[in-house]
Amino acid sequence: MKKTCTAALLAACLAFAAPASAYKYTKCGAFECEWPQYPIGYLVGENLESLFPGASDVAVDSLTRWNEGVQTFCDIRLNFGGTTTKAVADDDFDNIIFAQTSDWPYGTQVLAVTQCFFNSQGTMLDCDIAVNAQDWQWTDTNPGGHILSLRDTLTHEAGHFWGLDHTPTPAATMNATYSDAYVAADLDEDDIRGASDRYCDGSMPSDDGEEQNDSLKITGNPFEETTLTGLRLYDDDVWKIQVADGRFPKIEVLDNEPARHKHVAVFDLNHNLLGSSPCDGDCVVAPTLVPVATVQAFIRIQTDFARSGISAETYDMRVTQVTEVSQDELTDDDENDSGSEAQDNDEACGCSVMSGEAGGEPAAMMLLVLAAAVLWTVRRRC
Amino acid sequence: MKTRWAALVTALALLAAVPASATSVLRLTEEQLFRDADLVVTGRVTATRSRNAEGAPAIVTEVDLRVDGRLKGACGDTITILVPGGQIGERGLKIMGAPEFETGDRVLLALDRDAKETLRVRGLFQGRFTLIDAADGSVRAVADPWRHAAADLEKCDQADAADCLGEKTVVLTLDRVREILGASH
Repeated sequence: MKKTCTAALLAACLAFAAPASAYKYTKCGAFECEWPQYPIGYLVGENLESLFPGASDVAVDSLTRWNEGVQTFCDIRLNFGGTTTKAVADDDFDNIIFAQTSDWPYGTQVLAVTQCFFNSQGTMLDCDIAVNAQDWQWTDTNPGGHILSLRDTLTHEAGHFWGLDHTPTPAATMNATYSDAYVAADLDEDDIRGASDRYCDGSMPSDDGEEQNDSLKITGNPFEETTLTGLRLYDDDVWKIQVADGRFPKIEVLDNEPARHKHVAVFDLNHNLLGSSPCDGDCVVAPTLVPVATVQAFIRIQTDFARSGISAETYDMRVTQVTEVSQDELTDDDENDSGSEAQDNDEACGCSVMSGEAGGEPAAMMLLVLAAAVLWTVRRRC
Repeated sequence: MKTRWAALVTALALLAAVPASATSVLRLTEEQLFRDADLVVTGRVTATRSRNAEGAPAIVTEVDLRVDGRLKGACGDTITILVPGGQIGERGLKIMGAPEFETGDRVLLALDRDAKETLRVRGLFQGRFTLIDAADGSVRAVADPWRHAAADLEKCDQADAADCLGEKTVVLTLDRVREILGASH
């Protein structure tokens, strides 16, 4: 009976937690748009900076955010190549983000446009992002509603730069519209998967070779935790982590340097992404979609020695094996933990909703309520 | 400078009226999309032609539409719409978010006339809807971002097409468009 109930629980979790990838690729003629080679360079127009001080940094940050997401899967990036006096969209093979101050041809309602030249095979040759500076003033962010936020707008346009089309996924940066709680500068799982599936074939990244076959096995009591300290990071680390059957590994990457941006992702042995968390400071990923005894944890820490003054790349990792029952308690305990995004979705059924929007979306809420009802029924029978 | 301020004031007025917005395109409400359009028509695309243009965008496409319904404004039986981007031989230009057309497409369009009387789709992709026959016999207009799912709608058997295709899907009936336009007259 217990086995049947567990199976029912798993089935229910899978049914409601299935990732709803909806990203789409832009067509360049008859083919999907794709860059021919990497890395892809870009320049920022000096006029953007002169009109809106700080715009260059915002532009670079917006595109770097995509790099960080995609680099969870493979080493493809957009490279900032400096500034330029050019301020025109053409096919000169310079990819430019610039402010267009006159002759804006798309109408006042259009805030920015990504324009890509391509060949007959759909290969992108030159993409330029024009920001409508004829009709609009821009700021970095706008707490009042994110309108006229250069960061939000350029993050969205950078998705087009990668070849992504608009997606119906409400929380995605590439959604054509946004809801009240939406910030385009925050990439959704759907965005990252869209770009990485295109360029990295959706495969899991490999270790950087310095610490291959790192493994950690915890099979003792529930809540048993193991902390490894002073781990040396060589760009990327991949850990194989095993916990007891029926339990979940909660993986925390501990770092006292909030300046270091990290990306922790957890995959099953078939390279399916179970959960991920881009974060600063400490990262927590608890992929409780289903109890998977063995997972692979991919860890990347972005360190810019020149800017942050950090002299060593080390980190600590704490792995706790938790049971399904304990998950609710852990969620309560971790309410103030900014890195535990995966757990925020766990309250209904102890399973993560990878790309769903738990808050603010009526349909998602209905799903969660429905899931809770099913689980309550199953548990009651158990 | 006066023009710029006027545009800014117009834009701010739009912002004040619109609670939600796209990141690169201000979202027009259904009322703003249709009531403020110069022309609202239904029809079928009969031909498309891309050509080089001066300035940006460097390539534009002319779209011929055989009009079978006029919901707002007057026009002939065939109209030509100009959309940014297109392909000429080996060279193509993609304007991300711009509406695209293929011969045979059945569409509902909200159009603006510019100073040269050229017809353009209003609000970039927002003014283009794909027309499909729903299972209940009605004609539905699916907003451009969901056009890929339009075929699925034909299989839907629910009264509320949005429920069928998924949350946030913008699907209108032509009666709804007429209702919006009727309220403004």
